[in-house]
Amino acid sequence: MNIPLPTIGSEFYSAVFPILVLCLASIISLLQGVSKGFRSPAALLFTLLVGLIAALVYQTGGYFLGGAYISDMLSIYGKSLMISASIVLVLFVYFSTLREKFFRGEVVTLFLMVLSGFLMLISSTDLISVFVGLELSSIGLYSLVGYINPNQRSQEGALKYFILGSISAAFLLYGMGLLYFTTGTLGIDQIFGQISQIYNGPNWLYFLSGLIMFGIGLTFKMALAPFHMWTPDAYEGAPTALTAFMATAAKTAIILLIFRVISFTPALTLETWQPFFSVLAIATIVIGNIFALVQTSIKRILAYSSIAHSGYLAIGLAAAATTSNTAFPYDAILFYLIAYTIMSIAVFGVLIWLEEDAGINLNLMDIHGLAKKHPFAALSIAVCMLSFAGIPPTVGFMSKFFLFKAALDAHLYSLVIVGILGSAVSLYYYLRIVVNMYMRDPTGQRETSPGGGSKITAFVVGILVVLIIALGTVLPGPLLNKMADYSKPLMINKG
Amino acid sequence: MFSMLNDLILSLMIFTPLVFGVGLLGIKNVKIARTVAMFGAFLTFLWSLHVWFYFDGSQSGLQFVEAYEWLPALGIKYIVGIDGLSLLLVMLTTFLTILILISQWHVVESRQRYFLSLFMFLETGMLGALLAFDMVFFYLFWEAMLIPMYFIIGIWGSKERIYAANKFFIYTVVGSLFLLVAAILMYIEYHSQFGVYSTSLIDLYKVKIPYPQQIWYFLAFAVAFAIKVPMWPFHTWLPDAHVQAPTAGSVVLAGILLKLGTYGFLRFALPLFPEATEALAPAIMLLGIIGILYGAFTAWVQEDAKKLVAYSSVSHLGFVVLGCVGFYAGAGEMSVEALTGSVYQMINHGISTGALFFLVGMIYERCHTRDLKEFGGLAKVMPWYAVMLIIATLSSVGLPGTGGFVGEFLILLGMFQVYPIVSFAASLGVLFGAVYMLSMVKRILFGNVTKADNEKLADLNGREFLYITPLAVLIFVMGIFPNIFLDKVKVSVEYFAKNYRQYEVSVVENHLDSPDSKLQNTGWSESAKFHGE
Repeated sequence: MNIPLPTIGSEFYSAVFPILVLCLASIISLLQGVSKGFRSPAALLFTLLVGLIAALVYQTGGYFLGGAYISDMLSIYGKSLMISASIVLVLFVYFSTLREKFFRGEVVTLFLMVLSGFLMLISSTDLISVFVGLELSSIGLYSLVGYINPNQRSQEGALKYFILGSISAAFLLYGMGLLYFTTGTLGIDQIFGQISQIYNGPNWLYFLSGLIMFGIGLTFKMALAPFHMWTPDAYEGAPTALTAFMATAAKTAIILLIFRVISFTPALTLETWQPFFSVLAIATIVIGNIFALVQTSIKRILAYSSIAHSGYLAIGLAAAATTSNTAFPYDAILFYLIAYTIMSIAVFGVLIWLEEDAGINLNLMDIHGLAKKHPFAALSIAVCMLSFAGIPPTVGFMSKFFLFKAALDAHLYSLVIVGILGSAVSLYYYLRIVVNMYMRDPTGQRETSPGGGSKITAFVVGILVVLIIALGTVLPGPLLNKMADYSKPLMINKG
Repeated sequence: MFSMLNDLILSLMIFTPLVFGVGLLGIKNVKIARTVAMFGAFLTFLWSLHVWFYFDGSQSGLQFVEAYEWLPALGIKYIVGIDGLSLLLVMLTTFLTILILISQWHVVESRQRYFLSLFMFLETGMLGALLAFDMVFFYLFWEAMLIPMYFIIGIWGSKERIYAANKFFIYTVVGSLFLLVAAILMYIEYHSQFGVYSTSLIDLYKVKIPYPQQIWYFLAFAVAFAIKVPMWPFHTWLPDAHVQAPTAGSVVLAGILLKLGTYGFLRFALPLFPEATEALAPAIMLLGIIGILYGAFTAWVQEDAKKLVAYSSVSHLGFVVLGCVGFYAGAGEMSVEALTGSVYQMINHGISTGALFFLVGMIYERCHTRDLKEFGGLAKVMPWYAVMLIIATLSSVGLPGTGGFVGEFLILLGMFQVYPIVSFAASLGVLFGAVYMLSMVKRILFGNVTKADNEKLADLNGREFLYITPLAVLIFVMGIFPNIFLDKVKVSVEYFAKNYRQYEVSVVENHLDSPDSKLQNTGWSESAKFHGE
């Protein structure tokens, strides 16, 4: 690969424009927070949306800073997905009771920092910028979990997330140190391009331990078992909109980063990765699905379901790590991420809506008979649950179908079997939610009646639900074809 | 002029109920909702009648084929078509749906529109699964049809409905997941043999999978279908689902949903994996016979009328399964009689058991119990009811002159030529069938009226006549003039029985233009698509 010399010119600024504009917006919102006239939620929403939309629409490509920053179709994919998700979630929050708590100068600043960290992460090809991106996003998330709506649970979640996250950052950093020690470079392409020289050489053990520690740092953020412990507490404690953001954006960013690492590994040594991803996938699917069975809090169920979905994505990663000359596994994962983002935002959107009346942390009792009191909310949740479980005609089925096809192409039969059994187990807890909404009479003490929630939230959720069905029936073809454009940069080593 | 419809009739038939189902969700007034639902079901029935009249019984191939690209990169197409194996089941589906809507006509409940629209969705799912000739689309419809049934049982069922609904759903989905994996593997195998991807069943029939591996593929498919049929020992969800489901749900479940299992077996498992099916035929026959006898004995001891009918379904479907595996040893041919019997018996069972579930539902509505001990002497109080119940029962036990006789006789005849001993064991099932069905009739209809409340029971009302009479008439028509139906399916069935080892589906021209051009693979090979080279 030909990497241009470090130059900082107008091209560079245009390539980092999305990050710059988010940083600018975050500084402005901080200033708004201390100014008397401009700190109303509406003014902050304005800054936030202008920043997000500017970052979303502006796109350009190229390699910069000696290859440390890369802007290609893959980063455009990640950027578009994460920013679109953020815009929807910000609107959900604006039309909920959390408005006053979220639209404070410092909270908006933190949120924009997190997002710019993720954007940096998906554009980095250098360990330093990876670390900066990860920490930028993580530090913001630690504080947001506990700060927006402080209560005992959220603070417990934030603290657990912070402590475990710090340890994982230490692992990550130490792993990076070892990788640098063995290869003498920080560029991801150069480090992994050297695997074949280092393999079984004198430095192999150092390299391997560095790789494993680096991997632990990443899998922690993606909530793969056995590094998932923080997830349920943090997801449950965080305000629901932030939970949705963590479940979708964080997953997208880390997956795309792993894509880069895989794509820089020479094709012949690619299969080194497969056992790692396979073990993680099996462990995550089993743990995620089994622990979800015994939960009563809806957000905790969704947290474990999110862990299980990370496991399915890891199946895709294992399928991508083969020598065979196909981009299909990448396409399948990119499709899956879009599907998962849509489903998650829809279901968390309904939860935000219901929380208006019922208060936070709904459990299974609270949604008894929801279908009678609120058919639309119940229908939306039911569609999302069936989609999470991978039942046709929803996008959840199509995404699992593509993923399993990719895995079977790569002869990963055992992974597919585990995935299938996991889906079967997951039916139980997804159906439990449906059963409680549709087949039981209202018994919950908490009032989950319509009225409090905003019409706009309902409207957006409605669109997402239609999308879930449409992408599962008539539209998966065009979307999958589009994914082939985004995965092109990943094919550099596969020819 | 009606032949203009031929090019899109099947899609119209599949999606008319869907459109009406979605529309129904917005209609709050129960009276308008049920009229709209009936209009939708009637329209669908008209489409199916059109297919019936334009269907060419002298062709063994697929007719009314429609094919559109859906996901070209992966070779997935939307293909629908109909042949003799599916024609009768399609007719049964559209017909029974109308009767079910009539049976629901009197219900005035605020949630009725959801009930009706679920039935419309269910009809779309069933028709789609019967007509789809693409593996992925088949799977989509096959799974999607569970969702409405799940809600029908779970919301409108009786006391243990949630348990029954979950059991039904999880059982069926788990079985189908195995089918999904095997189907994806078939699809990859097709790619490695022919260099392009295709999920079209017409293409997949050409895949040759070496024999020992075939067994695994076959088992994966067979589990999914065996659960649906249900074959012993996968039947345990059925009594729960039937007993808990509302009457209309039971009728669809027994009438059509179960047949999709045997239909799937014939359409997919057998022609895709012929050697494996032959090798495992003795085991399947054994399970079929166990099912027949087990179902019969269990039905015998039931005190709950609905449970009795449910177990009789397990027994009757054992016959259908037998007819599907009547191979002549080593000849590469199946018994045409047995297979014809199976296809015919699927319809008979749908009609007679559908009628029985309706009839059990009628006394349940009147007495709020199905316990056989509570009845007796109803023939005096409800003479018309007695007539209808006896007609349905006689067809169920296979009395000559009723449809049940034709189906069972053909199966036993065919099996006798192939495996006399199997035929003998199965005919014991007919015998026991008569015992338990007639004893049920005796306990409900004859003797003295044991309960004072039962003296005042009303006989069938006009609405009930309206939906039970067509079934009673059909029972006799099917028994006396079987050729009306068999003429349409004979050629397909014979072709299937003789060529199942190299089964290939030809496409019959649609009277207007040739669909062959639409079916040709458009050359979306993987390398062309994904690498742009």
